[in-house]
Amino acid sequence: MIEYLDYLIYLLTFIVGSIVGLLWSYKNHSQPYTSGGLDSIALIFAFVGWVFVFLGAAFWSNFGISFILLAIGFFFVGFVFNERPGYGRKETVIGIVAGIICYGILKCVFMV
Amino acid sequence: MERQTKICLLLLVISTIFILYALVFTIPIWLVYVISIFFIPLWILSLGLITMAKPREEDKEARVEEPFTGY
Amino acid sequence: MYLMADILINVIIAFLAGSLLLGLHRKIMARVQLRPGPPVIQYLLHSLKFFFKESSFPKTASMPFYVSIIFILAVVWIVGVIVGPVTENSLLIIFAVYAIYKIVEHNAGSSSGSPYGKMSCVRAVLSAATELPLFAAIALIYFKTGTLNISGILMYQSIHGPLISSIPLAAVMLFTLLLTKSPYSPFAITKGKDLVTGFETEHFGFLRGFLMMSESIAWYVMLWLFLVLFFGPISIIWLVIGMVLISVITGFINATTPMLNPNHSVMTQITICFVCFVGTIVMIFI
Repeated sequence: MIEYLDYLIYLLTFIVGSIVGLLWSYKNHSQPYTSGGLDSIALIFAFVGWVFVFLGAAFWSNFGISFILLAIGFFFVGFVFNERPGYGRKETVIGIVAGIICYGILKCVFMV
Repeated sequence: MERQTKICLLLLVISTIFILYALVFTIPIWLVYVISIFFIPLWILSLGLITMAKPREEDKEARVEEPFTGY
Repeated sequence: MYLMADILINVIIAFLAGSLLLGLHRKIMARVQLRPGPPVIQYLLHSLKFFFKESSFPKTASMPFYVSIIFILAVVWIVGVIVGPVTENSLLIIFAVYAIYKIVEHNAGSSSGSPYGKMSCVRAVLSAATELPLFAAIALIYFKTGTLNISGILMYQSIHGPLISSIPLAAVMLFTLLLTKSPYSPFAITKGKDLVTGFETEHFGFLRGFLMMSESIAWYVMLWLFLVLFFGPISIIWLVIGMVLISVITGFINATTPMLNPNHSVMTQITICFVCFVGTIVMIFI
């Protein structure tokens, strides 16, 4: 039961992050997405979110650290992933790449 | 308070009590199944009947009498 | 008390994850059609939004059946969650759950009195053809593993390897079933746009929200079942990846195929069932 409780918490933080991100996005982006560069705040949040998620996966054996990293990570992932349609796509991809690189570094260098 | 709202509130309270009872106390497995199968949907149904918006009095008749066209 | 907590947590996970997966499905469909599509969270937000909308009960509706049929749908899929992810019990109960789901589709359509609902009700009878692939897949799983109990099937796979490698055509049949239940599917004759939204057309407001909630639980349970029956005891990460992948694949299929007419839909499913069933029998015994 406890195993599923933390998955529920990750889902809930993802959903809360999504709703907050959607509201923030509609407030900041008044126009539908056409084309453009990267949003710096979304980029930072995507970076933090995905890095935390991948680090949480890397520290899976240590429940305490893993839980905190994943819960916070999923919040920021959801924030960027569920922005106004069209926004947040590039930032999400960059975040995933950054997360994979951090995971790889951690696994190779520190043998975690 | 409207009659329907009172009944739904009562059902909501009853469902909540039964769900909490199954959560807190150790009861036979079959009873847990019965409570979860019946009272979780009843909880959602009664909540929905309470939270749903009501039509204005002048529109109420029109909503019920002819809800769709093209028939 | 742990069992009740387990059930509650699994039902909530099924609802939330199912909603997100259906939102992803819709997003993929939009992207394939060169549209941005709504946010992935939209399905969940709509389900919750409808709880606060005005819900009128048409004069032609058969009360209390009109309301209770939606209640029955939720009951049925909560049974699905209990029998599946919580207790890993018998596949026959899952078959019964699915059969009652069909009955609910039929009766939800007929209970409203709307002509769209009535047409959907008739098509729900036709679409019982989807139970053939399910029944055939269950029968083949039984032939192969000797058990209809999900935990027994998992145990079999932990020893002999995943069933996807030994009876892949049975997986195709169950995938056809998943496809039938996915939104805008070529086989979704009960909810075709020619019938507005079929049996759901005259269920407004919170009843629609309740219906959407049950359907997201249904989607999660069916994906879980497919992955567990054919890929064995996999970790939660692979379960999530599998569910996302299947939602994406069905999104692609549904975005690029038209809805078949009811007779073609039934014949296609029966043909798939026949070919896969015979093929699997040949693979098992020869």
